[in-house]
Amino acid sequence: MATLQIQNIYKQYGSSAVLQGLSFDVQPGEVYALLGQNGAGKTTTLHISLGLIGADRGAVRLLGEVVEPRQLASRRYPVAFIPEVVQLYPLFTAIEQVGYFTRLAGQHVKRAELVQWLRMAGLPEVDMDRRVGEFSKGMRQKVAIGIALARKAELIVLDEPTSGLDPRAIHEFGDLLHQLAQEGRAVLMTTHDIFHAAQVAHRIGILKEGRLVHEVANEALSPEALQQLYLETV
Amino acid sequence: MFQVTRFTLQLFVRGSMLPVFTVLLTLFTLLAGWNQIQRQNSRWQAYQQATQTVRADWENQGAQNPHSSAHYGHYAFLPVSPWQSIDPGVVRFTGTMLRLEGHMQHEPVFSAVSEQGVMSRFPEVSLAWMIQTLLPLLVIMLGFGIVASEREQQTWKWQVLQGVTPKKLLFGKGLALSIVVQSMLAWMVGIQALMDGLLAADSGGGSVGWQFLFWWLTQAVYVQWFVFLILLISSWAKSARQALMVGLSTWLLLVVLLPRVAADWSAKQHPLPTRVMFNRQLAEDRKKGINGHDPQDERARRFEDSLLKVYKVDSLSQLPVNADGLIMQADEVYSNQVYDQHFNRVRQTLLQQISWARWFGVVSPAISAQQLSMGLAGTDVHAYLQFTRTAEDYRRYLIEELNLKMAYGGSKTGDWDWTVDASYFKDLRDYSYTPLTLKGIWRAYQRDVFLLVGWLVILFAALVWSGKRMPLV
Repeated sequence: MATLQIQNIYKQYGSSAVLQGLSFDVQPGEVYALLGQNGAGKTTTLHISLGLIGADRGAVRLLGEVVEPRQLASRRYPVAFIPEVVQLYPLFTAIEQVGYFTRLAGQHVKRAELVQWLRMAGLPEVDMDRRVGEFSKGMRQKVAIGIALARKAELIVLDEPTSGLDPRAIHEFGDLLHQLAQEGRAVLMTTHDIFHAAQVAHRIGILKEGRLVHEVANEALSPEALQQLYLETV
Repeated sequence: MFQVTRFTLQLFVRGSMLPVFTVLLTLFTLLAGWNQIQRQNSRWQAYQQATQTVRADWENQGAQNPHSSAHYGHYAFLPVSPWQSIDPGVVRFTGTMLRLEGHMQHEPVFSAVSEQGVMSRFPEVSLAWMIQTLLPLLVIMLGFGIVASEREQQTWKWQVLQGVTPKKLLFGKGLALSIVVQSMLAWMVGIQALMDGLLAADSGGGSVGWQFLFWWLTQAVYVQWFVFLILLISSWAKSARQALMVGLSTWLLLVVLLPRVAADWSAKQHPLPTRVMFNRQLAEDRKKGINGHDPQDERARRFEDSLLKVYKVDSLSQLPVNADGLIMQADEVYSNQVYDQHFNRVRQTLLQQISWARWFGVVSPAISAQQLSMGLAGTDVHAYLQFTRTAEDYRRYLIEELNLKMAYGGSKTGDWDWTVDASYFKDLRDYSYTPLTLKGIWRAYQRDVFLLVGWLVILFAALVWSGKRMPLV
């Protein structure tokens, strides 16, 4: 069973049609990358997948269950979202942030467990009691992953995760995504970085004007061929 | 929800805004409290000194003709409200001393403003002013980003994804903001109460009373209204910057501009007669009555004739009473009627002005809060009118006593050298001001209470609705 199923989604803002019959799915243990120009509907797709906004038509299923928009509290979907710019609360330490978000999710865990999640997310122990305001973007992303792990998320949704990261951080982040996928989690991400998508994603969808115009498996195309396809499409 | 409240409280404590505002508001409260208490003490001292001196002069005037005493006159002083240091209200603009004399009504004089010159154009810094004007700024500065910033930084979305409803998040954060703001209010009131206890002269009834607690309660409701307002603005603003701009503009409009507009507009709708016009009309109407000092006055002669008929005598010298005393009392009764007619018109106009100004509370609860604050502090227009009314009642009592003493005390008509014993003046009671009771204040201000509470309920309902409908992304 697919972790996430997007079925024939339509979404319109005023007179502007953002999504027009979009369908795709993300399997457990799979990293799915959505490529597309600005305004292609990537972020709207993520928001609909998470149940933050509703679609005009079509259905979203998470682990087989229909996602009801704005019903996140009653359903407690096992999802996590990592935005393009992870700011968190600059005056709180990494461990305090993870602690707060786990408590919000109704879990009351000890410090040792919080440390373990942050360690799994790749944050060095020495940084766990530092205020997040002092962190680089890459380190803040690790805290965000820590929160997602603590949430026991089955689906992790990332919006432009590599923008603003240096090459080393991008590489480390790619490894982290693979690790998450290997643990059975589904990862859906949007990106402009075609080469990174080719590196980490199992499948890649190209969005244009709210429609999925191509969906290719990673092994089917080289990064250069993917870039060529993308440029020809958009 | 309490997790959110606790976390938000920690956010406030760790941020720079709350400590800065705490220090500033504490300093201002200390300065304003000290300044107002000094003024209250000096007014209290002046009041005590003046009442004692005037009473002593009155009692020690010696053997005197009662009518000479009526012209010698007496004075009524507005006592110092124990809450004047909290809200000086309109007291600094109105007079605090009334000269009481036969045949004429004087205006209150010795207002604080008359001694302050151009500086009186600036608002007086008091606890009430800080709570009504500055504390809402703290609410705005702490609250504008409470939702809008979090939405911008995506942490709002993040919290919702943890399974917390937006309504719970909103109310959790609102509770934290309320705790901070209400604690700040309590802190400021506490400082003032402590300073009052330590430094203020006992101006009679200075202990903590119901009136003070109600005052606090009304201000707490007003501040809470601001908390709800900024939560609402922050929930719907597209960015934190927009929330800040809308919050500050709303503060400027509701707290600074509208009370001014309300006062000006009401004064224009119900203009008071000029002092010159009032006095001229009063004098003209008075001329139509008996002139007790003019023996040729036609109406006085008619009154004398009626007296002769009543007592069945042929001349004033045969009367068993002093006709001068009765004529002057008749003159007094007529003058009082004329005064009542004219002054009631002024009084009605004043009350209409206030009433219209207070209706602006429909738009700005700041106006209701300000009016209630002055009313409960006993420094409002109603207190001033109560002073003028009770002082005038006392003047009538005093002059009637003196006229009747003249008439029935054993003197003959035309004997202006007749005197009464010095002890007589001691037996006449002194003026005492009766402030409005809590019931009286409630009657005068129930509309403002309803407006203030009504606004609070409306915004609470709007917040509940907002919690269900507000955008998540």
